[in-house]
Amino acid sequence: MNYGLHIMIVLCIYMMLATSLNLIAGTLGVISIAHAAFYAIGAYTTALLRTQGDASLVAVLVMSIITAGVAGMALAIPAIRLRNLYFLIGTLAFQILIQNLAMNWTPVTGGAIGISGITPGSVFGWRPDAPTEFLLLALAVLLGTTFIVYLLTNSPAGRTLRAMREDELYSASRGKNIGRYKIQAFSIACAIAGLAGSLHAQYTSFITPTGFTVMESVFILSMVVLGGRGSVWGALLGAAVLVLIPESLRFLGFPTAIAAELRMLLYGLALVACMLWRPQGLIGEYAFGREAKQK
Amino acid sequence: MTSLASAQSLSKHFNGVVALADFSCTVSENEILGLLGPNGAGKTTLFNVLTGLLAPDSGAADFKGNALTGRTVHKIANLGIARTFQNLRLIRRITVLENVLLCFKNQPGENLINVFFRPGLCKRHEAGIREKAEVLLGTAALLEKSNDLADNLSYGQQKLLSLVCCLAADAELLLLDEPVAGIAPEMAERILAIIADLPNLGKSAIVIEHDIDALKGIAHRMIFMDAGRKICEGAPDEVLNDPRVIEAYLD
Repeated sequence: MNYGLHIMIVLCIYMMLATSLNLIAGTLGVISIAHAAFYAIGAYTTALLRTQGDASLVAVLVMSIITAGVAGMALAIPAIRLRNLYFLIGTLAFQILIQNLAMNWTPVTGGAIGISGITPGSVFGWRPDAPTEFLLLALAVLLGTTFIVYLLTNSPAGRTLRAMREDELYSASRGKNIGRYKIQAFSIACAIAGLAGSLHAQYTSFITPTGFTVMESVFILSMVVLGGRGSVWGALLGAAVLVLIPESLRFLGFPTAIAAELRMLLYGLALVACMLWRPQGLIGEYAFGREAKQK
Repeated sequence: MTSLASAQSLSKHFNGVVALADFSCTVSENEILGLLGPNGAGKTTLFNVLTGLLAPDSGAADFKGNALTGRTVHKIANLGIARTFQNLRLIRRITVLENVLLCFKNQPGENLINVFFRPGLCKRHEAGIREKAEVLLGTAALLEKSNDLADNLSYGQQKLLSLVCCLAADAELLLLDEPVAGIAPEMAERILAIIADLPNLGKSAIVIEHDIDALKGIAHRMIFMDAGRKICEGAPDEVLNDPRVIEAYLD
């Protein structure tokens, strides 16, 4: 039964990553492939706090939110000036920067070996080190972050974000401070990715740079594309499909080595099918690139 | 009459093409100023300079004592200037009602701290502006369309909606770029009636329009411009009987 619990914990973490990236790629309408970098920042923050001392669970989660959120803001402030593909390239640069930092700043990050022996922090004497307990924690955090994203996208601020996604110039002419909205939404999404990273580090107990590469960012982005851009439910569904389908291959009796290759094949197929038949994703609001073509 | 906004010696060139040349004008409180001129006369450029979309090469503009030049687009909008666009801009993939709600100023729910920590305040304010939006849509006879996507409205209804959005913004100065061009007569009537009523609401407007009859009916004063310069200015009858204006429109 531990296997089922494991999958559910992994799913919770990816759902957090997908809903938060959806805030950027869906609601804000700019594509970022730096999400794994913020995921890494949260994970490494937690790893350091838990291996260098005995920080409490709350302290670890809060610090991961802060470091990833501040890093997000630091990237957003210069990057919001870039448009479309240029923004994507800017985020790619940041992703590679963080990836290399994790790989080469050995005294702090442990380099390629990473950091091991990370134990979950405790809160009020409760330490979620059993899988069942950790699942409870992950579910609670997932619920909390999904609620925050939901609240944000359904508020007047969310309405303004959707308006900006369609026509920035018009929104500015209606008195909306485009830059402020972008920085805020981007930072919140990054903070949530940091939180997911923190859970990941505490759950798997060791982290290496290979878990936070560009491919990981692309994987999270595929969840948003597949599930549906702009819809909170779409991101959750996309994460579920892309985490569960490869896992289900195990039960079809494929050897592990072949299953790993098939995984990539399946992601590719899912994305191509999505482009061909459902550009808006399974339950998404609108398609990538459609807005731009309208005029 | 007290002056609400004015432009002083505005100039703007695009690679040698003169869009505005030493252009000055004033609009008073509760006044509707008609702006006439052939294509390329610089009328829309004037709007773009006043709303901060373009920086003038020289000259200055102010609104209620605040300098407009050098201020960002959203700050100018928040001073109380709202505009419509010649090529009709709206947010097409949200509903008609949401388009109107979007335009209200100072919404507590647009501040994320309020969204998360003062949801009650946001909800109350949202209910309040929703009521106002419905009244505005009602007077424009668009109420039954409130839940349609803005994209699904007819061209005339979209133009009407963009005017309603300016009213929702509660701007004191409306810059209307061809509000009735290319739409059915009965819709044009409705739009013109709303514009003519603006002074009663304490608002002023500068209206660009090629339909001279429509403009004559609503404008208190007119300016005729060509090649970025003001050719003549005065009461509608004076301007429309000016030989230079007759010549330009007969050509």
